[in-house]
Parts: sequence; structure tokens; C-alpha cells
Amino acid sequence: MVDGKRRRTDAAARVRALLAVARRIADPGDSLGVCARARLCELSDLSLSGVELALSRHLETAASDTELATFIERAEESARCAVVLSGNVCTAALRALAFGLATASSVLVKPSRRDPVLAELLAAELPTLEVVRSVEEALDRLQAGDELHVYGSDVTVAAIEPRATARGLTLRSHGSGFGVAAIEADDAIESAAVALATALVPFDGRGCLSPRLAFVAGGREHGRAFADSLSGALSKLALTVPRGTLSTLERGELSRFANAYQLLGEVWQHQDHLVAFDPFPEALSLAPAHRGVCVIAAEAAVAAHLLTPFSRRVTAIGQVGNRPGPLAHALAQTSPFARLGRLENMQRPPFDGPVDLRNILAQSAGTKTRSR
Amino acid sequence: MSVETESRALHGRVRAFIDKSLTAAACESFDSLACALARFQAEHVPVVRAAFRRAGIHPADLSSANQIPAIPTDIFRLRRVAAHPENLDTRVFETSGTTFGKPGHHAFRELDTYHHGALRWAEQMLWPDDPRLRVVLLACSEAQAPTSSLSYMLARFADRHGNGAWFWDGERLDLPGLVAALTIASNVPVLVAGTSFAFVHLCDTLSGPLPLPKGSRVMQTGGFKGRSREVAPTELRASLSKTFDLAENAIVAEYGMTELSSQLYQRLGDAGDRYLAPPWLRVEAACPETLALLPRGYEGIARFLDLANVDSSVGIQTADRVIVDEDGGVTLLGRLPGAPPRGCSLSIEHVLTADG
Repeated sequence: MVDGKRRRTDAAARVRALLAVARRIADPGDSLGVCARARLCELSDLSLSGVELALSRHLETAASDTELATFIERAEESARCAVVLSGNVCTAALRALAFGLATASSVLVKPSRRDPVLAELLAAELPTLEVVRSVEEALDRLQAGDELHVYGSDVTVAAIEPRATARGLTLRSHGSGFGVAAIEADDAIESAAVALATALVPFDGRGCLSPRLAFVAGGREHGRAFADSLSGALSKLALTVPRGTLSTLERGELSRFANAYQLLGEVWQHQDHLVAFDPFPEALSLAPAHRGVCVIAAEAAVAAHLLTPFSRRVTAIGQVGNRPGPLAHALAQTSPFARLGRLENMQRPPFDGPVDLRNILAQSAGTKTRSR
Repeated sequence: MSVETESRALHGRVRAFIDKSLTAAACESFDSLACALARFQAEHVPVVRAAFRRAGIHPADLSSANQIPAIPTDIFRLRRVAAHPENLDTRVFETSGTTFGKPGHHAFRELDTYHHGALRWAEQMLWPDDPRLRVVLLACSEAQAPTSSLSYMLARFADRHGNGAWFWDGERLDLPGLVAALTIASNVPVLVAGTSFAFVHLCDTLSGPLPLPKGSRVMQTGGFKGRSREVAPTELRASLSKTFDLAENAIVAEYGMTELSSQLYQRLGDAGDRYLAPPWLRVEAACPETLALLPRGYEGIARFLDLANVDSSVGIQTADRVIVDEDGGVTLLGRLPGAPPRGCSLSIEHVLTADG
């Protein structure tokens, strides 16, 4: 018991030290904050105000005692831990490294090649973090029984998994996922649209919690009105936080998606976003992750049925207000390991574990989630 | 005229076009038939009608095939694309990809035109020398995979040659059976046809070469979907050439998809990588961003005008990158990055993975 308590106390101290550095990064007047902004503006594909939004509003800088206790409880102790990071969300390194530090007293960090900024800044300030330059180096430095945390696409996870297994490592993988919004029949359309836009704009919708689908109950007219309002809300937000630059490939993806949904329903494609509306859904498609969202008119049972093939991919379900209505409830039953919370907070989940809780919640429920 | 009568008449016109286009006989123009099909589809297939509306084209005003709006392949997963109700389906082919949960569906009111076109083009491309062939198939049989358009086509090839043996039982490759079938004392040339993944599996499993009689040929189709060992086309061709002791120009690749009723092939006897479409299938490259058609020789994404798609959509837009030459030869460059993997090999690979 004493050992367990000591472990938790030490882990909490390591995580708090990390959050202290994060506060400096979030502060635009601190030298770390200045450096982070300069480098992210160069590397992240977000607009200047997109970077500012990410650092000032979505970088976790504090945690309550209760949150921290849950956070550490959800990690498992290991002598050593390595964290392989992905590059879609510029602030994601923080929580991933915090989870690593909750696991082990020192953590090897393999930053994303595309966006190493946060990981490098944090590691430079903390002796508990050490940057390694390749996954192979991380694997070589670990021993059987150590933990390897991998964040990235399913392809990345699949490529690393056999090597981790062969070395007897405990792999915690955080693969592809997306968020879903639930708009009930009696929700006020305008405020719901603003809430969803608030969740979609951070990171230009590229995060694993970012809403890519919005189910709207209450009939097709309600669904269409919501899609229209959402487009308006996104346009308004883009005035202060415009979308970052898109590659030719990404522009093409948006264009082809818009082309398809123009045949199925209606599309609002503007300079900084794309909203597609399907009034007669038979199956689902994900909107491209560049402030794209697909609005689906469906009542609870139909929505749950449509979402079922994707259920393992859903990381977060956003609802209007604090209590899930029938639609959110049905979606949550389909994706029981997704976070469920207020729509506008989808990108600001409580500091109670990794942002993507699917594996941990499934493990608690007795499902096999860890490979060894 | 009822929908059925109109459809039947169009099927007849397409089959006549197929026959005449392969001979010197005069036939109606591709554009005229494509426009007639598109007008029929605009009237009876809601998504085609929507595509015309979006393109701002009135079907009655169509004057050239390249004006026909194309339906993205993903639509076959999201909506029914058919001029007839479900109760008149004789067969529904499904895509093998499961990335997005529900497979794409291509419903057929009748299969005679599909069957006719597939055989006529295979005669040109796979057995132009019209030999007697033994047919050996590395794919699920039609009974095992009734929704696979590849299995349907291969079964028709077997029918055409009056024989055919399937060595994929739905779960695994029947290697002993295949080896026994290919090593019997016979000078009759063999057509070995199947999915690329099955061939890779065969090459990986065989301990030695499996020489085929003179005049034999191999047809392989489909990709690897990023879910298994990928083999470059040239490497696969070389590997099959070595395995079967055949010249590399006896190994031809086929390109087909559930949403099309016609196929492209590399030419038997050619060593190049170009694919040829039949006269009833036009291929153009479109800009991936604007979807506008590109001049010949430019890289773009493949847009098809398939006259054999009588009851669905003559215009099909894919996310497969191609270059179309001045003479219509097609070089395949793979799927656009980010586009969902799809195609025939996945079914086999999926089962192998599950077994493993």
C-alpha cells in the first residue's frame, strides 16, 4: 500500500512538473511560449490564430487533484516507458507524455517527424523526458515488460506492434478515431451549431476527438436547418480563426467529397469549411478532416444503426448541455468506450487519462485491449 | 415505353455495339449510345438525375459523351444506383472493402450484357489465339462468393472453355490440389486467373517452380489494400514468370471494379504496363481537385464511360490515378493517397489474416 501511495505521489509530481512547463508554453509572453508559437506557425499547417487557439485554450496547464488521481490510476507502473507521437494535433504531445510520466519515472520520446515542437520543448525542460530519434532506438532501449505507448494512424500502430510484441513489451496503442455530435429534436439549433463549430475549429478538425459526423434528430427540415446554421457559425469563427493552408491533395479530397454529397443532399462549401447534409442516409461517410463535417438527419435508432460499423472508431460523443438525450444515449450505447460530454468541450476533455479512452475503458469492461 | 422495355432495348443496342465494334461492321457511335443511356438513367436513377441537375445539363441537350456527369464510386455505398426496383435484381455485386462499414452495391436487372462484354474482351485480350485452354482459378468460386463480380466473370471464362477448377475454398489456397492440377501430364495450355494476393500467397508458399505447358498464360487482378505484403507489379510479374516458367509477356494484369461492367487488360504478348479498354469503355483522366477532364497524357483520376452499365450509371468517377495516352492506352498509378482502399483482393487477404 505504501509503495502504491508512493508511486502515485511520485507520478503526480512528475505530471505536475510537466504541466508547469505547459503553462509557460501557453503563455505568449514566456520565452517558451514565444518559441512554440514561432515554430508551430512554421510547421503545423494551422493559421497563426489556429496556433494561438491551440496553445492558449487547448493545451492542458492544470489538473484538479481528483482528475490527477484518476489520470494516474489509469496508468500502470512500469520501469521504463517510451512514447511514439503523431503529428496531427500540435498540443497532443503534452497529455501523451503526461501519461508516460504517470507510468514510469523517465520516458523516452519519439516526436512526430512532421511536428516535433511540443515534445522537444517539453523534453528540453524536463530531465524525466529524453528524446530519441527513431522508433527503433526506443525499442532498443526498452526491456521486456516495459511499456510502449504509440499514438498515430492504425497503419503506424500495425507497423510497430509486431516489433513491440517480439521484444515482450506492453503496447498501449492509440489509433485512428473521430468524434460524433448528437443534436436532439428539441435542441436549439443556433446554439448547438455554435457549440459544434467551437469543437470543430481547433486543430482544423484533425484531432482524434474532432467531430466529423453530426446526427440530428427531429426530421429532415431540422437537420437541414442545423447544417445551414453550422455553416454560418463556422464562417463566423473563421473570421477570427481561419483554416490553415491545405495541400493540393487535401483540397482535392474536400472537392470530391463535396461532389458526392451534392448528389445525395446539400453541401455548404466555403473558404474555410465544408458542411455536407444527407437527408436520406443509408450509410455513412466521413467528411475530410479539414473543418469538414457531415450532418445526418436520423432519429436515435437509425443513427445508432448507421454508426454501428464505425463504433470502434468513435472516441467522443458531444451533446448539447449536460444530460444526454435519446439520440446521444443511443450513440453512446453503440460506442460505449467513447467519451460523452458537452459538445463545445469535445476538444477539452477532463484531464483524466489519455484523450482517447477507448482502450482503457474497454479494458475496464473486461475486453482484451492490450497486446503483449 | 416502360422502363423494362426501354432498358431491354438499350441492352440490345449495347450488345450490338460490342459485337460490331470488334469487327469492321458499321455500328452506332459511342457518343450517341452513351447519351441515350445517360438520358435513360437521368430519368430513372435518382443520383444520376441529381448529377445532371448539379452539372446544369438537361439530359435532352446532351450532345457528346464527355458531357455526361460521372457518379463517384463511393455513391454505390451510400445509395442504390439502379433504374429498376430491388425486386427486379438478378444479381447484386458488392465491393470487398470494409473500411467504411457497408460495401458498395451494384445491382443488375440482367447480366447478359455484362457476360457478353466480359467474354468478348477476354477473347481479344486473354485468348486472341483461340486455343483450347484448361482454366485454373485462384479466387472464390461463384457459389462461395455470389456477390463478387470477379468470381462471376471467372466462372463465365470457365464456362466458355468448358472446364474450370477453383483452388481457393473460401478460407485458404488448396495448394496440393493446385499443384496436382498443374503437374498432370498434359500439353493443353492453362489459363491461371486470380487475385494478386492469391498469387503472392502461392509464390510465397511454393517450394519450387511449377512449369506450365507452352501457350499457357496468367491473369492477375486487384491490389493489396495496404493490409498485407505488397508486391510491385513488375516484381509480381517476374515472380509469376519464374514460378510458371512463362515469358513475362504471358502474365497479364486485369483492372476491373464492382461499379463497372467492363474490364481493362494488359495485352497478352506485350511486355509493357499499359492497359487497354474495350471500345465500349472510354477512360479519361480528370483533375483530382476540380474534376475537370484533362488532356491526354496528363496524370489525373480515372473517369469511365462504360456502355455496359445500362441500368446504373454510364459515367463513373474513381480515385484511381491514371495517365491516358493519345491512343487510349491507360497507365495505372495507384489510388490517390487518403482514398479508401478497395477491390477484390481484400476478401482473400481478410480471411488469411483471420486464419493467421
